[in-house]
Amino acid sequence: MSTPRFTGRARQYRSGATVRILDRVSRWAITVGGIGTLVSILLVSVFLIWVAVPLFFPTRMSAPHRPAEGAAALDAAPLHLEVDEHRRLGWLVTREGTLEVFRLDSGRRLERRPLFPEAEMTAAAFSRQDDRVAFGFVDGTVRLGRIAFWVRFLREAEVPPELRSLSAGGLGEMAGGLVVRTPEGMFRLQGVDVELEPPIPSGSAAPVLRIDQTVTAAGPVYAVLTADGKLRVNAVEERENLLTGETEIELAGGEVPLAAAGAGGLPDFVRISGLGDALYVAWRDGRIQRFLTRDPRRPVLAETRDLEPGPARVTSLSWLLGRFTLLVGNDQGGLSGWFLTRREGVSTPDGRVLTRAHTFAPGAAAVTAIASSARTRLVAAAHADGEVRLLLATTAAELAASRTADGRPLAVLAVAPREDAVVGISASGLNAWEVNARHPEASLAALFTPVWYEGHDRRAHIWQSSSGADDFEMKLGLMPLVFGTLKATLYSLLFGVPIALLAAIYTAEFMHRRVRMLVKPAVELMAGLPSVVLGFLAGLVFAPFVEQVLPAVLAAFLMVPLALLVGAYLWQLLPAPLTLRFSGWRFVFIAAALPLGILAGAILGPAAERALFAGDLRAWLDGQRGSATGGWFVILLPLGALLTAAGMGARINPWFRAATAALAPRPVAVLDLVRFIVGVVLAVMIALGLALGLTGLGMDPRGSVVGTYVQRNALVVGFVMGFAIIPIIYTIAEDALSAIPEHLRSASLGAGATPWQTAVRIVIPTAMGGLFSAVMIGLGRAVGETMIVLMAAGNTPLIDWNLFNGFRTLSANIAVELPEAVRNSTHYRTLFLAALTLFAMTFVLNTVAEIVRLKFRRRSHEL
Amino acid sequence: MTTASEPMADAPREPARRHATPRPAPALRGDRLAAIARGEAVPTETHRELAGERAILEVDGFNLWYGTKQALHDIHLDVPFGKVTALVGPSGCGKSTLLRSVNRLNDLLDTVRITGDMRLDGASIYHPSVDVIQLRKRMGMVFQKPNPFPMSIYENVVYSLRIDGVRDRRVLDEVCERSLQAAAFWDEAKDRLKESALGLSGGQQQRLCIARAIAAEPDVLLMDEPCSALDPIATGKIEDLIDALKGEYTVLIVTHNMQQASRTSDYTAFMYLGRLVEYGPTEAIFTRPHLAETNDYITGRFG
Repeated sequence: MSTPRFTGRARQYRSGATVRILDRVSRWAITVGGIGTLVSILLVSVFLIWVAVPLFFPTRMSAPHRPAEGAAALDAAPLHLEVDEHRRLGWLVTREGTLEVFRLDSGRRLERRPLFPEAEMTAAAFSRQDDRVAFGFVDGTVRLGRIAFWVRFLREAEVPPELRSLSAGGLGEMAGGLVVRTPEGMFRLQGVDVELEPPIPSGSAAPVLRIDQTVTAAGPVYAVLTADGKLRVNAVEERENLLTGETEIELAGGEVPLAAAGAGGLPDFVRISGLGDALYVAWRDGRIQRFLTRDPRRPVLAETRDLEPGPARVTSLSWLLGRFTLLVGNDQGGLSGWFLTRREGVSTPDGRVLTRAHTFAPGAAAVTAIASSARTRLVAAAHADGEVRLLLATTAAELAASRTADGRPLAVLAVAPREDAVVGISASGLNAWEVNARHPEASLAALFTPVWYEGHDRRAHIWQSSSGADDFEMKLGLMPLVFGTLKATLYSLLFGVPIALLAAIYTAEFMHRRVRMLVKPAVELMAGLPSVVLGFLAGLVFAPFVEQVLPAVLAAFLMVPLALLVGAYLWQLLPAPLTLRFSGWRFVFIAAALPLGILAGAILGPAAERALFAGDLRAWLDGQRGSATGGWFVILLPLGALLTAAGMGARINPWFRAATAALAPRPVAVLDLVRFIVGVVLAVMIALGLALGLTGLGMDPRGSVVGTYVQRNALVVGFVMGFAIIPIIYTIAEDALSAIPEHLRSASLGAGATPWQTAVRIVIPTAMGGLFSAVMIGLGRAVGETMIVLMAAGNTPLIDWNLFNGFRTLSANIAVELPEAVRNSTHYRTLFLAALTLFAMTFVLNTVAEIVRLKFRRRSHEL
Repeated sequence: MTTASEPMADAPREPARRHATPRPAPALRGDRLAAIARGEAVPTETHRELAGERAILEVDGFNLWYGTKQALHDIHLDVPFGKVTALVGPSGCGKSTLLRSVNRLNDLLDTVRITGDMRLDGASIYHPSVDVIQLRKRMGMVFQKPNPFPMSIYENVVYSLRIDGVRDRRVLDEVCERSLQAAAFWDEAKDRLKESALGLSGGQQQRLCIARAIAAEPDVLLMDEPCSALDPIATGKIEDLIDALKGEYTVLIVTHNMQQASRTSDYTAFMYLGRLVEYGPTEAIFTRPHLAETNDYITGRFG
């Protein structure tokens, strides 16, 4: 019990119940809120990882499944094998021209049908992608057609009574095909349909030995090698007779000059490309000849190459999806992919040459069969020792491997349409593997290293996730997007950081306190401008404007700083009483330099265009005219200015200061102006000299940092995104500078330093940590910025430093493509991986910024 | 703030040795402090001994306002050359303001307005044609709180030469050593010149700041309560240092500490509420002040 002393009031020592309850409740609320925030941030990254990680799950291939019953009944060495997309049915065509349809689960044959009862088939060609077939006959004729699976859903009444009780997934046979009870309870009837067109002549009466066909936009094209050694290419044109209503077939074709090649023996392989514009003829020893058949009447030999320079012999030659890449298997187990690339200095008529682009890991024994998927660049290859491998052509990666049950080699194999199975036939019958190829196209190598895509001349980083064509090769290189992100960041920082930091230094160190209280909130208000507004201003207003007045804009970038400097030197020339009287208005004078600089740029720009860029800057950028000197001059001008400033600072300024110490301020100001003008002239001369030197060395900036002008480009983005990051950098930098204790400034000023010396020697070095973290946070903002780059960067995923070209950033790419990506597809997951990459980039940047900021804070605590 | 290297010999000082004799009664009496508080002008009691000294700094009818509040009233003060002059007075009496007006650091505050003038060696300080930067180069300043720059000890000392563009290494080295020796800091610092000055103790930092001020070869050394943030041992060292500077440098020191003023200074000025009340030789101010108010203050009866 206390005695009342000063206030006459006894203090209650125990806190009230409400106080204690509130204390507890608030502690809980804060704990839950804080932990919840952390957890939700963590969950976001966990979710990103959760979606992206399956990209890297390996492809799995089951042990071979061998249907026992009736397996031997199938033909042991058919010409071709197909599997339906539900993995219920298969068909094959034997060497004798018989079609066999069979159940995949039991291997039981459902149907056996001679396709050509009255003619002897001697050659056949199959195209898995479009179900097209072509057959050649002993009399030299050819029949084109289709063999395809069909599916029809049955009404309850159509189903035979004994099958009505099928459980879901159950199979039953009935006349016409196989009945499947779907999980939804429907009855699906499946079968194989054959359509064959009437025979057409091949141009020779001798038996057809080899045949291949493709369907172009104009119609089918086929190539036929007959026993008399003649190879012909024919384009089939179907025409409807308007009077009779009959279709007439017209052939346009010519003989391929095989003899010109001087080949010994008849070719073993004849392959025609997807567009019908190239015919490949190959021998087992590896020789291959390419003929140009764009005009089928006059095939021209383009080149002769050797597929197997070593002793190996070609055992298998087949098309990859799209009929542009040839897959070559040899008797040593080697497997390679070849396609046409453009090469400098080759003598072929079309300037292209067949190139070995993919070399797969070799198998242990000869390649016996190759099957390409009809969906992606997935390839199945069978080897003589019974090995079966799943490969991805794009990256030449081996995804999975297995072996036939008894080690006998497969004579033929097929990849199921949904890529969920591989089926093959060996001498001992049917083998089937279940395949779980989740995302074969995405691998670390495909995402982050250069890949040799079909039709490209070299390995490259390319992002192209979709296309209109079915045989499209997915290009998932993330590097162009990472590059675009860095390019956007670099150019916007290049513009934004100097302005933001100089503005912060000016505000913190030189600006009148009252003006500062207006300026700082005004700049911070800029940060509240929605970036979509900046984006559409950039894309729809600024980009077309810059395109029109490009020379003036570029000149203004140089003239505005120059105008500020000239203004400062002229200010010194004013008599002292005048400068003192107007010192309050200094800010207004500085602000006036900006429009003056822009005006000077507008006047000087076109003149500079005439003098430096042959009168047309955009044509110059295109490389159409003018020499490199003008461009080098403009690029090197800042360097010349820096060199001059550094040289003057080191050599001239101490001497100048000593020489003018005794003079009155006015003559010093005049001399100072003279010195400045000499410096400007010197900077121009240095830049001009360097420019002439570099041009003399044969170097040209076009094609690297500058090049063809595109309306939506890095200049526009750099300028506008610079505006977006200026407020954030400015605010943090200004805070850091203002946080420097006043006593340091007083000490420096008291020692006789000018405010500028104080700022440069004391305040800025001390605040360096804060300035750095301001820049880093600006960087983080620029890396993650979406709307501005989406609307103003052109979204072309290119790796090109050209200031006047567009780019695509990770963020804009996600915004553009995610709404269209199929859920859980490779594309979808890759976009999540892009998001994860972006997250990692900003996370690292912000962490570095935070570490530096904390270090800086510790340091300023010592002051 | 004791470090092992600091000798303990001069640590405890015998206080107020000079006051051993009985105090004679002040010559003048009157309630000046009340008059000052009412805002009335009260003439400064300046001792005759000052007329014999050569003044390097003359403060002549100096008034200063912070906004509408007047902080200094009609100050007349001649600081004698080569002597230590102490400014004493209760908190808020304008001692520091007066000191900061001498090198125009108050210019940095935009609410400050002044009338009257000061003269350094006969040249005006506040004339519009005066280059403030040049002016400050002639004065060194030591602040209440040690404020070394966040750089090395060496760079701190030669800062004033750096800003003048001196690059000659030999000149810099020599100035650094001499200044540190003059500030009695050379022996402690010579092996760690490249280390950050922020790692020093408070007393060391303050001696470094004095060395930095000396390195500029100032005409006048301004000290704004240089020992108020230091412990007694560091204070003792600084006081010895001020003693040693006497004769070569003119020192104007603001202090709260009566003993310090009596120990270190040759002349003492007593200020109250923005007015200079009494100014004379330290011996006289502390033993036989002319004014009863001064006597009350220095004997600790108020303030």
